[in-house]
Amino acid sequence: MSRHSKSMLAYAAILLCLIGVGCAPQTSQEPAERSRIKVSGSGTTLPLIRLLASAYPDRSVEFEFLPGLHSAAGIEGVASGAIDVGLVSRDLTDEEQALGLTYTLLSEDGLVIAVHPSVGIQELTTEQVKDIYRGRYSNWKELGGADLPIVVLDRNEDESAKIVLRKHVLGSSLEVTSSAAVLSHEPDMISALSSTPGAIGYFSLGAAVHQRVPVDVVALDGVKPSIETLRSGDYRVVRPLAIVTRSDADAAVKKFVQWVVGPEARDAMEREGYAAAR
Amino acid sequence: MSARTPGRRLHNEIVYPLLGALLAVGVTAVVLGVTVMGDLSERWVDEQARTVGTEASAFLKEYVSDLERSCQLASSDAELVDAATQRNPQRLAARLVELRSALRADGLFVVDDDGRAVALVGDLSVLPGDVVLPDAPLRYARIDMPFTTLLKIQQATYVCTARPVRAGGYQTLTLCLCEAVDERMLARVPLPTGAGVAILDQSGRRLAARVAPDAQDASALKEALSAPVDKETLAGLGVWSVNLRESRYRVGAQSITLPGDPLEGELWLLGAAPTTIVDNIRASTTLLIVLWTVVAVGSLFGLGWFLAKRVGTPIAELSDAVERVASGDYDVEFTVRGQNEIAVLSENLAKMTDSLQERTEGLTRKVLELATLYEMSRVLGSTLDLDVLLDAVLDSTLRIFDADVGYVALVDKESQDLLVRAWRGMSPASPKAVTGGGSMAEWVVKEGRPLLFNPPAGGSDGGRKVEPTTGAAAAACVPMHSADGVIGALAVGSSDPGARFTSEDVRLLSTIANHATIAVGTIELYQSLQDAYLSTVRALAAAIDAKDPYTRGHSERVATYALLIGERIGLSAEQRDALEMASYLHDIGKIGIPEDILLKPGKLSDEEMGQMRHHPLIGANILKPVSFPWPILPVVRHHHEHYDGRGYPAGLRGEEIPLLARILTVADSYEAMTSDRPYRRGRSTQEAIVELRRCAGSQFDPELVDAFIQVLESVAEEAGPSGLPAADDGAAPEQSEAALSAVCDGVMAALRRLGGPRLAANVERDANARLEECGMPFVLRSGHLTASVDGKPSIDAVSRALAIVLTVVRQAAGPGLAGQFVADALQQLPPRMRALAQAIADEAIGQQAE
Repeated sequence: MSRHSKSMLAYAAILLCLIGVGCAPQTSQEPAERSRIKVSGSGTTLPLIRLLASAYPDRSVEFEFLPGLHSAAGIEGVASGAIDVGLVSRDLTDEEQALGLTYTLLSEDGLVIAVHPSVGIQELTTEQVKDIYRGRYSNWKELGGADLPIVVLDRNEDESAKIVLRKHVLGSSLEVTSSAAVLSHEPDMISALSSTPGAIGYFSLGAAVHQRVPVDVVALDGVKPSIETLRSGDYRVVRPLAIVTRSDADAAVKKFVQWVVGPEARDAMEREGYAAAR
Repeated sequence: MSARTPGRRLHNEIVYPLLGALLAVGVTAVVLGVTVMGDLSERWVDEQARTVGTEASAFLKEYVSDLERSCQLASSDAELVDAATQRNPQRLAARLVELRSALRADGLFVVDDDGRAVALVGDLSVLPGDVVLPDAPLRYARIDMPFTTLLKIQQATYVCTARPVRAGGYQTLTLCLCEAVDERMLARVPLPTGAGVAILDQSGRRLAARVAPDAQDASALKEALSAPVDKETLAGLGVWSVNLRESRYRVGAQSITLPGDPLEGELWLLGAAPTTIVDNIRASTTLLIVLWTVVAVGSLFGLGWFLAKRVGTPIAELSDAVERVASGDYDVEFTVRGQNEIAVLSENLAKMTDSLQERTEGLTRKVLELATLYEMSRVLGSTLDLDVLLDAVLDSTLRIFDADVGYVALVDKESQDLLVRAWRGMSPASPKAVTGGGSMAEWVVKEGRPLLFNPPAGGSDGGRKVEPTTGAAAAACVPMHSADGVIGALAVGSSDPGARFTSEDVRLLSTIANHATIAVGTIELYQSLQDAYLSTVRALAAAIDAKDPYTRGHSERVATYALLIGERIGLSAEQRDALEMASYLHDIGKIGIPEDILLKPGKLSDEEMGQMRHHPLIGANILKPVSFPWPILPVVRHHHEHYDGRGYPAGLRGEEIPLLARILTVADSYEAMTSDRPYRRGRSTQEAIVELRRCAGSQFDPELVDAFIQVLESVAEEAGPSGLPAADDGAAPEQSEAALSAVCDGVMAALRRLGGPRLAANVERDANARLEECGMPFVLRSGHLTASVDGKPSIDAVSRALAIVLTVVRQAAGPGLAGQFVADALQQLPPRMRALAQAIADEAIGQQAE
């Protein structure tokens, strides 16, 4: 009897131990000191900074990407201290420069003009682009393409892409046709461009290469936008992709800024179709 | 295998059924528990799977209503309506682009009455101008009905909401908002941990599947959920299992139709719930149930074992003990102690056993008593000899009481002394030593009550005493009551220091004593009867002798000689009695012989001799009507037969002649030879012996002659020349001691004649005792006084010895008879010796008279 009960007790004890182990609270590893870098601003620069953030070797830094709109919002955010890193895809205006922020140029990004693959056009001249945006063409067959109505996709005037496009292609005075669809963010532009038959629009070269957007990037005046043509200066429609930081930023932020201009970050950028700033 | 294994059967009868029942209950509990658990967990998982499907369905409905709202908003968009009114595909498309980026729809398109796309945005793989809406939904579109349906474009399936765009000019365009039924859509379906969901179209083809990222075998599950299922399976199964490499899922299917779908397009929603957790829970619960059952069964079995042992062992012990009692072994201990019923049973059994033992012992004792009494009564009835009887009684008594010491003392009728007559286990110096003053027997006889002598109870060695006369540690003595009073005492004792005699023993001993008393009385009665018989016969013999004065005393002498021979050859007491009787009566037939022949001096003529030879037959005829206790007749009839067959009356020879007759012949002839007859003087002893030898083998049995001669010679050696009690006369030397010896012989012969040989033997014994007491060197043997030491005894010594003998005779026969005996004896002496002997005898009588 006593031997039986002893072994039974042993079994019960083992069982209880097993249950106890199973029920024991999972003690989470207390993280080492983590620094958090809040990032927001231009949607154009966002893919690049994501790319860099994922390549950043210091794993203790956590990047927080807040929904941003455009470069101005990023600059204001940094100035107000709401964010650590502001994304900018243009040069600073005079007022902005007066804020005393550190402007770090990451890349000279090309702005490419692209059409929906259904269009069947590979090359356009500056004039043709101008005429399309003026609304002088309604169908791509007029330009030797498919029989599709031309759907013009445009950005707001204060967007860096539109500013760069006006600077290099459209000119400041051109009035965009009223049939154009105006999109607020570059991802919207890319999405619309890739999913609207007969659409034409413009966006970042880096995004085009990096995200492999299913659109036809057209050669402008015979120059196909690429890192090489960009670097060689043959392709002129470029815009700066930069970040602004406060001069009294955290050490972690400063360290990151220091890193992004280094060779490691440059390699990462070039691998993904961004021409690193010189 | 033995039929009974004591001590285990009850135990096993309890334990094995209990074990069986416990195992049955345990197994049932385990099976039920496991089954119920399995069933419950399976149902729980099924419920989970259905819940997944139900939640997906709810989500889908919500999703559709969202879509419809979005579509309604878009269709009433002013710019779109404006563009539609203008029917400007560029503007329509541009507006659709903007709307789409606001609405985040997968596809937006506007179709005309024919179902052709006028403008479209989204990954629809169609171009403007293509027919997008099939006939069925188109009909609803044509009648301007908003609706939601499933739409298949190329390979993809979409949830498509259509609303008319109210453009001017009665042109009806229809705005369609599409959302692909794909994983992106399902990504918004809430999924429980580890679960999966899938949407199948009407025909069971997979549209989309999603598996929670934390699911086990996620890709395999997705694969499984994506496998086409035929419709019957979907409708029939309800819930089924999917076994993957490491896990198992339960998949539930339910069909839904989109709300407001006029085509009632059917969709199947599959919900998959993992059984992993439930399986784990079930496994551990099963383990728990099994362990608990084992613990419960084990402890209950142990308890049962213990209880069975508690109950079974004492019962088995009691059973064994009772079995031993039943087989007669009362030396059993009932060892169960305590307060419970078994202990009470044990106590009662112990009491019962004690009582049983007591009764059995009592019964055994009674049976033994009865057997002993029976045996004793046989002994009592089988002998008429008092000493044999008393010995037998004593032996039986000692055997009954398991005693080693004992004696029987009887009161002597004449002296009133208490004399020990038989004894065992002790050697009394004399009868008086045991029965002297202060002995148990003395007290018992005096008081007529039994007496117990027991060692003090619980007495140690220090206070040990023994009964002084017997040396026994414990003794009991009872009186022997007869009608005349106490005749003696019976005593037994044990030298075992642990022995005790009880009143029960005394009762038994008294019973034995009573029986013995009766037997003693019977023997005495018999002896007195026999004595009376003998006296009568002697009187008769004396009458015969009286007829022939010359042969006076003949019969007595013949009896003496015959008995000497009988003793010599070792006859039994009965035969000796018969011989004595026959000796007295052998010549009774001479009554019928004429006196002239009988008394004729000188030789008889042939005729006279012929008549004379009739006397044995005559004697036999005379005695015939008398019923003797002994076979006397043949002895009388044949006492003249010769050993060689030439005797009379029958001419028997050798062994044909009865032994007693042969003895009588020898004794008769010798007496005849040695006694005086009118016609001749008696021959001397030596001459007679010569004559006996001469006729041995012819007239006499030679063996008997040898025996007789030995007797005669031994007597002659002891007694000297004057040896035999013969009718000696003046030829003997005139010496006073011879005369005295003759007187003694005569007295003893007279005593024997009158009182019988038994009395004579008693007197002889007593006289010897007295002689020894007085230190006289004389021994009385066969009625003859002889010196027990060599050398010539003085006349004085002989005279004193005679005096002692006469004293004893006087005590035995009374003074009157003693005097007569002496006178008789003197009468027989020759005249010369008579005077001398008279003086000594007078002196002796005088001595004893003093």
